[in-house]
Amino acid sequence: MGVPGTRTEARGLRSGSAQEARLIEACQRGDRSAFNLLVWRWERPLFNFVCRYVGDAAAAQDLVQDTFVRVVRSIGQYSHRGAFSSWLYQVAVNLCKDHLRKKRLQIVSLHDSYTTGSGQRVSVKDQVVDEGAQTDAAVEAGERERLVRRLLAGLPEDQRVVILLKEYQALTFAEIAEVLGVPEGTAKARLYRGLRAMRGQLEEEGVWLEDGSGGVA
Amino acid sequence: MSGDCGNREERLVSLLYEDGDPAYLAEIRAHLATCSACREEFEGLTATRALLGEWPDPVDAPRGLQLEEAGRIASRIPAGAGRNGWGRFGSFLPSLAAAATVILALALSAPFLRFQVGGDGSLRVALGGSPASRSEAPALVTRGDLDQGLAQTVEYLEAWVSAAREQDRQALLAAVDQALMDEHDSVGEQVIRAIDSAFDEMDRRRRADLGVMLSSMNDLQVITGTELQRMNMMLASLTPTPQR
Repeated sequence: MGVPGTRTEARGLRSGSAQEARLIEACQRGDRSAFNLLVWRWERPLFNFVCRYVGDAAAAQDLVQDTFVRVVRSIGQYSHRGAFSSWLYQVAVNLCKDHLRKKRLQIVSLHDSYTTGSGQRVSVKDQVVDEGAQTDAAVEAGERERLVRRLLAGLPEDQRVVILLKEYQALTFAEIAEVLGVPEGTAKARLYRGLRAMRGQLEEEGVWLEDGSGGVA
Repeated sequence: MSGDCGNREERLVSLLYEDGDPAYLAEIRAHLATCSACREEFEGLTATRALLGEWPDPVDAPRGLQLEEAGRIASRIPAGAGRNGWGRFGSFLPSLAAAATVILALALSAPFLRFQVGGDGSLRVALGGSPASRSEAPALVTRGDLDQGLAQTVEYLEAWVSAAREQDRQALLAAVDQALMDEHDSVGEQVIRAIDSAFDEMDRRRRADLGVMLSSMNDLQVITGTELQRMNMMLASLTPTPQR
């Protein structure tokens, strides 16, 4: 089922292929070019995932670097039993969790961010946008993006991470289960609750979706 | 909710992402056809999911092995550089600079990917064959073995080569081939130097980044001998490998 938007895939050889297995083995032997290829393949999807997760591009840069350092340090322990991507994301997720815990980063709350001085919550439709240099389409697209970010930021972390891994990283539910160390059914239930909560928030704000295309009325 | 609506969360999500065998998904669809509550719920999930597509990827990874930057570095090579090298191809230097980017993209994946030029001048992708073992016949792979991104890169290069004049095409093919096949032609040398130079520049930056990062990592309080060895291996791995 197609969904509008972008997916950042790893570059190069197909994930899970025999060639990828050879690449990992070469990394385990300390092959320099293999490690370079590993970074090349994964840095972009990892960065985009981490950036969405922690909501901070500068922190995401450091966390991606940390992820690769951890991976290089422990790649000898990788056993090929699970997907390499699952292992990689598992390292990244753990680092993100630590980061958020340490910094006590409260990702933009729906209520705080959109509460006026008088205590009234502002609906997405009332957001002030700089329309000076933007076309109507750009303004609308910007509104929808902000809306998505805001809705996701308001979700519990365990629901948000499942949505990020599934929607934007295109992991299978089996891989997500591996990454998070939970049964597949749990991963699906968390995703369901996350989408349900987002919809509930939209209804509460009086924002409705016109149709399956994501249009905001 | 009737008995058929049991385990609704998992079933609806399975259908939403088409995760499951066709019979299982058909069973869920059949249920939706008769259950308005589940159907409405599914439509709501579908619309909410569609909205998620409105958040594009943040930005490209801002550091690391960025091909775009490497390409820019390669393109700064002056036309006269190498004296006996680039001068031969002066009329299509911009194209050659673009080629350097593509070559770099593929060279990064060495020893896994390289080109082979067929007797008819066609270009084929070859898999395997480290610099030390290039005398061995590499195993050819099909396009299906490559992911979409790399396949597009190869396609681009092939199109680019095809569009060149016949005389240039042969020369360019030879340059590309020699750069990757470890023949010490002057043009090949220049391309390799450009690639190495790009690697060096990126490597310096990455080392600096790593230095800052390592010094600030507060979870490396105790470094065991094994960890230190792995760390050294990683740092050593950051030294670019000349593609020859």
